[in-house]
Amino acid sequence: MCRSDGERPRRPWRSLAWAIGLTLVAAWTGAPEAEARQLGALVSPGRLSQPHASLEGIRNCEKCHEAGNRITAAKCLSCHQPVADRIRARRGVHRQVQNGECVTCHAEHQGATGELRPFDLKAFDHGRDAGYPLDGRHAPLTARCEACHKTRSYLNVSTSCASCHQDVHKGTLGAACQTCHTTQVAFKEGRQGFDHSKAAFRLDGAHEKVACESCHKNQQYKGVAFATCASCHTDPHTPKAAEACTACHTTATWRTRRFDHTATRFPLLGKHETTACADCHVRPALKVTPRYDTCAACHTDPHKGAFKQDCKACHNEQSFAKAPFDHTTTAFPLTGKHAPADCVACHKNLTRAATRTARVTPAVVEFGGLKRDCASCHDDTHKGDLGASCETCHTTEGFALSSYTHRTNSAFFAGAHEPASCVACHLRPSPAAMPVLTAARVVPPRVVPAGKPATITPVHGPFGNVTFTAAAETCATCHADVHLGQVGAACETCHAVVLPKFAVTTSFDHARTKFRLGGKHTAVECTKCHTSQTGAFPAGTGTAVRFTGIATTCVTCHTDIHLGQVGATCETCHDDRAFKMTSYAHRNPAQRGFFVGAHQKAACSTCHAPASGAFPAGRGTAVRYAIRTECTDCHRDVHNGSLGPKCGDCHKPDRFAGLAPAAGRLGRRNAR
Amino acid sequence: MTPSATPVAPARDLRGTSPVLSAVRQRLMPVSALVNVLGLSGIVSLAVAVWVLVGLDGWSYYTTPFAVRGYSPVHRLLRPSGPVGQTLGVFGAVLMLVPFAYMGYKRLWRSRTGTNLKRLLEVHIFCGIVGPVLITFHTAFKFNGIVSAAYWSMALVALSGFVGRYLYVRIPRTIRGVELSQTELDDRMTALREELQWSAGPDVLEALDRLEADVDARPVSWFSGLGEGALRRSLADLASLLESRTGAGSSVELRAAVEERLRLAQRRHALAATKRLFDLWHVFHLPLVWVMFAIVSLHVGVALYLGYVPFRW
Repeated sequence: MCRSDGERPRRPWRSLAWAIGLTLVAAWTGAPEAEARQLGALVSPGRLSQPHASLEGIRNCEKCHEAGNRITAAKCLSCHQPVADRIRARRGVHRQVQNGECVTCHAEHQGATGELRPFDLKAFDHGRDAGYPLDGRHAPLTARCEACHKTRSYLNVSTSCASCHQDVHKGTLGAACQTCHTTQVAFKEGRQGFDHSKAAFRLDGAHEKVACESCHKNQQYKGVAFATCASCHTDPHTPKAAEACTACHTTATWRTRRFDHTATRFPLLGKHETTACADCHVRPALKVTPRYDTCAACHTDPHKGAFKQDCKACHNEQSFAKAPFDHTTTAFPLTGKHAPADCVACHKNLTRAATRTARVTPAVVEFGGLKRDCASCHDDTHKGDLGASCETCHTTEGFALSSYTHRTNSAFFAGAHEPASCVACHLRPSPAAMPVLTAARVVPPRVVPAGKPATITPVHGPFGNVTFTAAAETCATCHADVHLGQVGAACETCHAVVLPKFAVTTSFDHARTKFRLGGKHTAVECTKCHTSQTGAFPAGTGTAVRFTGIATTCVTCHTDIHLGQVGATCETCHDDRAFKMTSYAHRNPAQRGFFVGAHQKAACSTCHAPASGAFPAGRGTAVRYAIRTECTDCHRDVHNGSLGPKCGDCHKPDRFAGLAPAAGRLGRRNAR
Repeated sequence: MTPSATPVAPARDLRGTSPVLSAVRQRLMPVSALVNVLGLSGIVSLAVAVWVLVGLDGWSYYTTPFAVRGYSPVHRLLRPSGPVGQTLGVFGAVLMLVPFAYMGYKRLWRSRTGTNLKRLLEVHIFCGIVGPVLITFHTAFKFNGIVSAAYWSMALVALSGFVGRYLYVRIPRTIRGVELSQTELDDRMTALREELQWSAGPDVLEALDRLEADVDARPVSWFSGLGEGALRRSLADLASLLESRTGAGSSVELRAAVEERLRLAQRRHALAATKRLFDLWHVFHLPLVWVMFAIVSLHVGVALYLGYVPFRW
């Protein structure tokens, strides 16, 4: 303190202040009297946790702290030897500690309640961090550490089962509980973990499903008798069977028999092998011997005694229904499609047997009395039109007539007629109801002809509602005349049945017609001239390719590109070898002197140029042929009119070039 | 304004005319002195607090119970021996040593003219506020053992510093912090009075005399804040009187001189009591400092001995 007069004031309060200060020091330490006696409590940054409580006091500081080195792991591990061992062995939660400081994870001086071990239960993996996975039934214990860890140290618990579980076997089965028990199932289900095959008595069959306690009474697992079945089972047979149980029974199931029936007088074959014993042995076999000499001893005769012979003549043990009966021994051998037919398809359940007694079952079958003709089983789809000899056309291989051959006019039934369906030609009642046959497609009828319902019988195959009759062998019988009468009825003149789809033969001689084909006309397709038209034809109005009545003039087919300037006589300039005109001689005698010299050598197009305008046939664009012969119509007047319009006074067509070379240039002008 | 029999000297501008102007011009330490450093200290302390509590998530750490605080993510950083906690402790201790420089300077090199004592006191106050804040975060709010006595001593010392400043600024001093002697005080009051004879009107002088008489008649009590409340009321009366005047007589300088004369009258009247109280304050302030110093020395010594060397984590 600075004073202006330099005198130090009297300080009567100084000693009192020191006293107050020291008193406050004592009071503010806040330490209980018991701890105040310990100087360590005065310099300690906080009380030690309960496990380290014995280390309180100033004399103990250096048990953990190392002068100049804070706290070293060596100090900690000198006491915590088990942890040191695990760090060294890289095991447990400390397995990843690398020269670390213990205080990195363990904080001390946090008070008596301070937690020394940071433990995140969610992040803790007992298998990974403790080396003992809590799985199966142990899994719920992951949240209840204290269930196994009774002491504060987690390292004091052994992994032996006996450290937590009570041995209900009282030591009789040793300490290796895992031999029988696993953590996956309840303790009582220990057998799932026990391999009984290692025991003297192997469990198989139904024995595998038996509860342990059924044999191991009163927790007795050793010394259980198993030499005979009677050790556990009671013999149900009366009187007692003389043979061992295993002679007839197996462990698969009690009812499973292993009896060798072949040793008896009735070996079991076929379906008898799978028949339950009790089906035949309705009474104990050991008491009563069942009859086996006749089938009727067990089976009921569905034929009600109709057959006197033995059942084996028709049936065997494999199947009652599909008896191996040899039909060839009868008057009607089964061939073709008859062979696989069910017996009952022909041998109907006749009413004769059914009416005899009301007790007859549906299985009762009548096998006798059937006729051999087809009609006895099949319906005649032809309604008698073709007689009763079905085999003339049909075989047992199939109803379809795929193999029928017409016996006359074989040339007619060749070619496109060969694959034709029967119904395409053999139709009734009238041609009006016939399908229209073309070379392209056969359209069979699909409906019953009106007025004839009684004569129609459905037949097999896709041609239902059709009856057969003889058909005339002319084209018009089946085919419609697509030419509408233009070429007559002799179709074979142009068409042949041997060609696909009745194609037109290539041998048609056009020279027989009024218009002989020559030049380029020979290569022109028929349809270029013979087009499909709708109109009047000899057979009436309709649409057909026009073959007759076609004019032979050029303009019938070709267009007049000259627009009527040169008339209709095209052949004056053109012929059928090529349309292009190769040469033309102006024939007008009045202009004979004009077409000489340079005029004679000039190309046609030099004077006759295309022009648009009025032509005899109308307005259009064409090469104009009617032009004037004045010089100035084609040539330019190089004298600009100074010498007048009469060029011929000085120039001649054959001498024009020699007179004046500059005047020899033609000036093309419009013909107009 | 009431007419007076004595001729009233016209109001004059004080600047450059008064023979005692130099004495008047020499500014004394105002009552508002050392407030700026309080604000600066508060800002720095707040910044440190925000950095630790928010920036380093210290709020969640300090509110975590001690038993499990050791496993907070920032325990390694903010524990007293951690990089931040220990550094705060070291800097806090260094700041707490700075006030000793002020004390030593005053005691060993007392001088009235050389050093700016006020500037030293400002450093003293800054360190005395910011230091305890740093130390507080160094403790991690865990007060155990004898070192907690040091902490609470420090806290009391720091809090008492505010009382000390209250008394300090009420002892007349120059602007550089040198306490005025009784003679200097009397001379200054005389100079002010002479100046006012020329510059203030008779009504003002009359009011000033009346108020000064009231001050002298008022008993000085520690519990009345050394008459600060009465002084504040008297200054308010004087201010209202001056505001009613117009013209040259209402100049700022005139008002400052009137208020200073009245304030000095009050300070002189309570000076003995103020100094006595200031002495007592020292008796409270200083022993706590020594207690703190002794215990912290022990604390630092033990820490260094056990290897908790600063800046080596």
